[in-house]
Amino acid sequence: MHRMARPELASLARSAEHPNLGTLRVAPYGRDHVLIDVSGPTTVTALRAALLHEQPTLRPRPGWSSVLVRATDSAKVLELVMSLDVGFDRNSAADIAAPHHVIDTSYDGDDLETVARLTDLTVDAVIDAHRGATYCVVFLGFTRAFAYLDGLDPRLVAVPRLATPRVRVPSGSIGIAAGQTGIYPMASPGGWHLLGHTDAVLFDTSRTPPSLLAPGDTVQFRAV
Amino acid sequence: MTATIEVLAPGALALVEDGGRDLAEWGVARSGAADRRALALANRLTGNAPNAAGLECLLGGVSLRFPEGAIVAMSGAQCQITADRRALDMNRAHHLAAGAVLTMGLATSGLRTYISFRGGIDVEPVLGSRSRDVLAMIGPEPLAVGTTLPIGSETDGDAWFEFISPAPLTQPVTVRVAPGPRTDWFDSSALELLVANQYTVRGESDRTGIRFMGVPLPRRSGDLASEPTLPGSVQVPPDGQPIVLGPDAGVSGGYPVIAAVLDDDLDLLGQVRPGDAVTFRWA
Repeated sequence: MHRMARPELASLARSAEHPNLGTLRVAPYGRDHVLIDVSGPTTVTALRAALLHEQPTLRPRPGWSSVLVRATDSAKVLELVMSLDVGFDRNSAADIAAPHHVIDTSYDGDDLETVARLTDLTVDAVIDAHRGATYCVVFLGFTRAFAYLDGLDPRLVAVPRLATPRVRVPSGSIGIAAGQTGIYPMASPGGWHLLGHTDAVLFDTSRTPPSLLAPGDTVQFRAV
Repeated sequence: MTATIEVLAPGALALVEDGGRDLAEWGVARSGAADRRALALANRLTGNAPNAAGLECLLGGVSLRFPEGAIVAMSGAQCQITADRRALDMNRAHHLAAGAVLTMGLATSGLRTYISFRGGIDVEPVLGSRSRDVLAMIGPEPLAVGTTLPIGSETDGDAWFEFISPAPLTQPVTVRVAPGPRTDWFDSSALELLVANQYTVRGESDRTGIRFMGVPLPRRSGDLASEPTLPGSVQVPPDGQPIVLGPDAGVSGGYPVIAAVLDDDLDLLGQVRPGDAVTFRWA
């Protein structure tokens, strides 16, 4: 019946070593897109900025450690990426020109005690660790522009996702999980540990773009 | 005076949909008609631009009143349609007199029937589109009894009052897939299993995705860092049962994507019902 041969696996993904970006892997994503894997969020931010500058028609869409582009030929994408001269400082997470946001935060989340227990810190130390860092917006995902932020204090990185996700997390909740922090832009189910909430309007359909935070922006949380 | 549509009955779920949005890098789903070809056909018949906003009616069951009259056309899932006791053929335009009531029976094959109104539904666009995104809750609210919608005046040609034969909905549905970025997460047998077996549409399917049940696809355990996804992404959660993302799916995910349904074939998945069998085929 179905005699369709499976695709030639060997021909699908290609890897290479870029002088600034490190190890890259490029693979087709369906017929019309190509996914570029890199080592992590810092490289994602640099690669996205370079692609937007060099070839904006590729419409780069970042993930946590990958960038999706609109293209049909993964070999050509690899060639282009390898030719990019990425002005990229490994010590600074973000472009200096990118907007910086200070998010007023009430540290009153339901999971503060749990996070303190998981990290062997006091609740106050958890809060200080979270508000003491400067974060970089890596990408907008999930739904309604949920911003995934990189830069969590190493002491908080071990906090995993909840074993059982909440059915409803209120809009504006600030959570951490799996080395990331983020703000829920709308009420939704959620599996992150909640540290607090903000009244900042993160998503407004009358704004262009609708999201307050954009990939490459930096963020700090200020306790109020 | 603006012509209007009054909703007497919304059926199971009736949504305003058009061609959708193009803001994925801003964390906003494409949304838009689940069967874009059916909406485009209905729009062509009323003389609208192909992506003008119309109604997407899940399983039919919708009843509408037109106080000022309208030119309408229906395409997609087959159902009995009457206007003031007169039977209306699908896939051609009809004049409805002022005060006419259009009533749709339940869909007998397919899942979504589209109604186009000459001039388009003229609700305020949100982020460049009049489409309802059911997950992000962006765009016009789902229709309810008493909802009134304005009909616009923007057209693209003449209406067509003769029957056009659309491509038939055939069973089982076969959709073409191209490899996804995570074929390396799968046992080499998984790529063969996906196309060698039929998968059944589960009840827990909607505009965010179609969940299938069939021979599980063996994969590596663990999660990926969240990566961008597309309508048509074939995700495989740890249980090995594939999920094809729909127009309102979130724009990122952590399940490995084994394949992606070709954009041209996504419309077919907009018409499958729970219990239907789907065959995947490597493009």
